[in-house]
Amino acid sequence: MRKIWIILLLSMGLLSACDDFLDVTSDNVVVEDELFADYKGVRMAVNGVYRELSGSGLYGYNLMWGFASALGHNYQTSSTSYLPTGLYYGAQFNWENSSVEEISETMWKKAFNVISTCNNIIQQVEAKDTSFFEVGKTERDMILGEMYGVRALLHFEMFRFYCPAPITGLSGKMPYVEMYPDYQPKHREASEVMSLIIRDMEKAKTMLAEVDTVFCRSWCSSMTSRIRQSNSWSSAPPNEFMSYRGCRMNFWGATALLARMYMYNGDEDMAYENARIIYSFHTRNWFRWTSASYQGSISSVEYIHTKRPEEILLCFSNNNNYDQWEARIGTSNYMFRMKNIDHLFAGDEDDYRKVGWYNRYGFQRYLTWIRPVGSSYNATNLATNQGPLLPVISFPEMYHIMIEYLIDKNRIPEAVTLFNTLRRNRGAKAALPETIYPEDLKEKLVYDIIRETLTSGQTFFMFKRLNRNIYNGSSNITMEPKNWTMPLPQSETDYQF
Amino acid sequence: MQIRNQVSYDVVKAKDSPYGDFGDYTSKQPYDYWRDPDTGELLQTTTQWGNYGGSSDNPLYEAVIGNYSKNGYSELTNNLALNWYINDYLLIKGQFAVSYKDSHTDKFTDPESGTYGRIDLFKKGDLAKERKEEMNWNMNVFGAYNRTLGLHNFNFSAGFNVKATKDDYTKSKYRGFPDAKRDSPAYAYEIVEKPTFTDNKTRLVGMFLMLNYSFKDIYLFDASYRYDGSSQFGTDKKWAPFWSLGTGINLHNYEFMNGFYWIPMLKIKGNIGETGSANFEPYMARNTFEIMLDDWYPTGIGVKPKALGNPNLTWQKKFSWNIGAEIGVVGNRGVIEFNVYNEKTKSLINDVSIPSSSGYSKYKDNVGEVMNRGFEIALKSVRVYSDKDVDVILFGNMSHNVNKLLKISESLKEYNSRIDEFYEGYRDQSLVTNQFLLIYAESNKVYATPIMKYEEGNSTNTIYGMKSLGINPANGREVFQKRDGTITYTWSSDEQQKIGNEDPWGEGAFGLNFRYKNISLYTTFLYSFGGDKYNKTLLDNVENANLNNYNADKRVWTERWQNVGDVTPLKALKDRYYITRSTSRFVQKNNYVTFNSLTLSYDFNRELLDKIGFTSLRLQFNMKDVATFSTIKREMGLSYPFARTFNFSLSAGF
Repeated sequence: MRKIWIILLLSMGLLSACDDFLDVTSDNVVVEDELFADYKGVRMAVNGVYRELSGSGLYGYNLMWGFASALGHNYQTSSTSYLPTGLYYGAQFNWENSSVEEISETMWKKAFNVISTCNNIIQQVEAKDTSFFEVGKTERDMILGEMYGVRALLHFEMFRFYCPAPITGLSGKMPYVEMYPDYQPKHREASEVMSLIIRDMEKAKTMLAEVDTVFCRSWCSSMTSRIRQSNSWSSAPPNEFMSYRGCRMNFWGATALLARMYMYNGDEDMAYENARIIYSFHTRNWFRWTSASYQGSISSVEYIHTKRPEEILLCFSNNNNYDQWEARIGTSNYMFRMKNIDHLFAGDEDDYRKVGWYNRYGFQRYLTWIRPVGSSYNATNLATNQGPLLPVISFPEMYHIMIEYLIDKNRIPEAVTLFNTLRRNRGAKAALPETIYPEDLKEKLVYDIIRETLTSGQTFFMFKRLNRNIYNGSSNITMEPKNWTMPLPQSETDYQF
Repeated sequence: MQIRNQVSYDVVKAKDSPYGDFGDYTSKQPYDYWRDPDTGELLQTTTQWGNYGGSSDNPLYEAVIGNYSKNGYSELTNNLALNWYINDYLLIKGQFAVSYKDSHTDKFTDPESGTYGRIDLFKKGDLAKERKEEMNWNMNVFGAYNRTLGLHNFNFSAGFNVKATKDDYTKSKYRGFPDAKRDSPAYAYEIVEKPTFTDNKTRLVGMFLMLNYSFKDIYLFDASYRYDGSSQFGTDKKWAPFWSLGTGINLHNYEFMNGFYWIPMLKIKGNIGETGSANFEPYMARNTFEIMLDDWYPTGIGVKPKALGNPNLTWQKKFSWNIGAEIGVVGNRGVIEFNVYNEKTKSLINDVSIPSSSGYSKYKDNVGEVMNRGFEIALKSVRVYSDKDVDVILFGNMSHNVNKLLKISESLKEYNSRIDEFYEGYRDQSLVTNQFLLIYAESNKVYATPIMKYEEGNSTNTIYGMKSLGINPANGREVFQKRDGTITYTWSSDEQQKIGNEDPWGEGAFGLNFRYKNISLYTTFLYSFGGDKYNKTLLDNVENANLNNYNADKRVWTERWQNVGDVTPLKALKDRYYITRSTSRFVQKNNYVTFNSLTLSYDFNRELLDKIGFTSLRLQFNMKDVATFSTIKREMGLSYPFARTFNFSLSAGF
């Protein structure tokens, strides 16, 4: 009988040891507690956020050269042979079309999925002490600043699609999610959403200021260390996670995006203030103009810096960009043709944005997303280093913001000086006279913004911000209020309690 | 003490038939050319008819070129068993088994295959190689103590079980081969995608206690307790306890029962207990991140969340009781068993939908309650007649079960509304023509069969759809009746109602065992009645048949509406590419009796065998699926040849 008890006791002992025994999982998944148990896991989570941002649901396609650019009428839109179905109906602002709804669903779901991961990371990191991280407070601030910034950016993108433009009066409702997990995010008034977006982006800017301009200073002032060049090593101590700041939310990106957000919200003073910060870094040569020889003043297409990486403040990165482009085009000669280019660049035939980018490989397409054909060192180098880039914001937009501010403040000569610098660096040889009428200058500005934003997804939002009919060559597209704003996706509205 | 060790090593190699699926042949049109009519050579593709395009692979051509699909494995197992009889009452048994299995699958498509059509030479020819290594071990230790003290009989046992598995899986895909002879990966033009490497570990630990007690062999009592843990469940809910209690009385062992000689046995028993099952993936219970192996971000490798985990998710628990009796038939001719039971499944696991701004569209939660109630009757081999030359033995059983959803949560109601939303994906085919009609028909196929819905008070096997009033002889279109009784031609998801229930009222098996001298006959039948079935073959092969691409049932010609005045069960032939959605027109009573097996055998005479030195010799004939009598007409043997198997066997003993 005693033996039985010994056996029983033994097995009881075994069971208590079993808890650890049962703690195994598969090799390619990590349980949350394990992931956030050391700083390496947190870094993986942060990298994952940017991988997701760079996917085709968001900046890899929809928010960049796909859906958003089609809405801005960058491409030929007259038949379904020019654009994929969803983009074709999107360009007609037919929000009820099932292909458009599909895109809307994908975009919304992905954006909020990434937002929920950001919130998770924020909560996890805020609960940790600075000593948890390899680079202490700097790394903690960096991650928090980035996550607040990404959260603000994605809410802003959704706000621009799903709420009416502030110029028409702040109306509409959408969620602003700040907690993980939030099973039933509250829908808030547009004014509240906008102020939360700005609050978070300001927070990001503040947190990243010291990180990027002090700690990361030495490797942030040149393009080749801001953006990863293959086969070169990073000069960033102590870890590559701290390097390539141009590819993750950084101080300049946050500041420039704030300028964009304030401008969209009609707060020109704050927009100007933030744009000035970037401008001053630019004038101190942190961010330079892409030189003329890389923009089209030379004949070979292989020299063109298709993404103008020198000017980029913030970009994301996806190694499949060319594959994506080619897959969407298939064997068609018609897909993604540009339109109105001659009309748009009338009077500025030398503009690099036309001669350097337009119709270089035929079929009236734009060079930015096309795989370089040649096998020269330039072509392959360009493909590996610039091909993956997804520019979110570059400094020329700050010129546009400052010019618009100066026109509205009737400081025309200053505006003209800035505008001429911008135009000169884009190969538009004719200088604008200081005597130009403000209305004409503004008209020139609108055209320049279109030229600058071709296939980058921003054209539509400029028109929406100004509540102005969308440019379409000689006759504009008449916009009705319902055309500007997409209805919230069904996956959102159906399950709201 | 006994110790035994057993080692085995298996090697298996298999190759799929090159002729592919049977369905590829039956779906061809009888007038398709598969050989060149002039030269007699096999054609790469069969003829295409009409302007709609469509499938034209020639399965016979594919069979003679170099395509192959091979698989195989080698396995090594070792079993160590130990029996230790400590004394007359106590026994300890232990078992330890280890196994290692290495399996592989190779699939090759010849560059000459018709499936490639007009594509780049460099992309013709595919090879997929998969390999899996599995390592398992399993340990059982079990102790039993059995003792009779006077009129008391105890049987106490306890044991535990530990199990671990580890899998390693690799998969690689190569593309571009010069020809079928050069099929080694070395010849491949390129690797299609980065090869996959995954590994998975699972571990299980279980422990149990069991007690049986009987007094005078009249009063019976038993209790059991299990405690199970698994690495697949959430961090907080790794362990789950289950229990059961039972009692019984052997009435026939009372002395007063001796008077009732015609009841040789009467036992009444009852049981109550709780069991559980965890039918969810581990990542549903805890937040899990997937490593993004396909590519890196400039600042390193990343992870992404797999799903929204619910750390409070628990095992699905089933509480049940049953009461039954075992009655002996007069003259010890057999036993009749009767059992009534009731089971209630609580914390049923299901999806909960949430607004997508939460970052996810759903998570798993314990919702809903299901009841199963019913009875079972079984006649266990009752000897109807028996003498020296003849035996007639009957057996049979029947069970009746009622399944009912008792409670559904808000989230399940939303699941129902999500079904309505799902049907919105149906693409209106009246807007398109030509090849788009076929493309739409292809994408609408998913809406053809009924989808499970949950409604309180109904069974989980209820069929939902629109109530149909049949085909209008005037125009060949289907007339539906809405919930409020009005009629319409339009199918709409929110007008769906209960149109049938798959649960039969009763089902079971019966059989007859007959012997005359040396000849015996053994038969079994299966039956079911009172249930409904959605006739999917009638729907797929006649109503929704794709006449452009595939061959179809002749009922397409005879039972479908063609001219004004035709009274037919199936819709108009001219609407053939419009996909029909769930309707009561295809719900049919599913009553059937299947003659499941028949065995006839002859035993040779002993005396005869002794002379030639045999101890036994038997000749046997066996047949499966002899016949089916059913209220539903279903097509069989289209995707796989319908087979009746006959076995003759001769067994001899020396």
